[in-house]
Amino acid sequence: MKIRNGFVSNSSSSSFMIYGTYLDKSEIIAKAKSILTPEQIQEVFFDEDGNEIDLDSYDFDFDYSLGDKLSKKLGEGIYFYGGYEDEGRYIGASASSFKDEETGAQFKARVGDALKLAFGNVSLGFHSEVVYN
Amino acid sequence: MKIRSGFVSNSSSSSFLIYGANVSDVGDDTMKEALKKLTGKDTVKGYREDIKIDDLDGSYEIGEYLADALGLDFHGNSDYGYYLGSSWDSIGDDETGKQFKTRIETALKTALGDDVSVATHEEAWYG
Repeated sequence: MKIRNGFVSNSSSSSFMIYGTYLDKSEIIAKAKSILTPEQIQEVFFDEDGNEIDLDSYDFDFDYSLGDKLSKKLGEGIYFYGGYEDEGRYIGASASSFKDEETGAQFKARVGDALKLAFGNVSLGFHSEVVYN
Repeated sequence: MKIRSGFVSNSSSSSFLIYGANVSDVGDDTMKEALKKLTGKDTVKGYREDIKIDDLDGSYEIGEYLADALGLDFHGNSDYGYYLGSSWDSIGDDETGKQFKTRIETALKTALGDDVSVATHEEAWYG
């Protein structure tokens, strides 16, 4: 992915266009505790000594620990996108990940069903963002 | 569309995720001929009066008219190139991914020839 200002390319930038939803971090964390296995909850929310991690501390890695594990639970091609400190996250599948044999309606249903199963009656749609650092 | 640097939003920014072709190297003359062939006319509708296709000025203007004639989107500028295609979020509910790609590829190759390379393109810029 390239971000350009004229010919300036910035490899630390990224963009996405997904079909999915946007949830606050607190909603994601609350749902995660009902979705993940006890072992995963232990791994994500507790330190090596068994103490619960302060979710506002740097010891809690939202994206690379929780996000990664939740993505695997949600199904093929569904990931977390965006992400700044206390902001929420977009969750869904890239708009370019349509399968050749899949219709638009089937794609939306596949992604939507997975998200609703995990997070309840969430609002679904296409979301597009560019992020640069 | 939002551009962020932290929480900074920049309304002059844009991005796209399309299935289509980079037409930067196609050339204005080739695109003008394609436009004439598609419309069956030597003119296109301007804001106030018809414009001769041969008088269209620059790839951006030609590309916009060509995209309109093809039913596709046109993106780009002189700095990073020009793209013709269709956004992935425009796929029809009854259309498969393969049908979507075939529809766009057929339109582009019919207009610009079989050498045009069609794929997914993702770009973003700010300025």
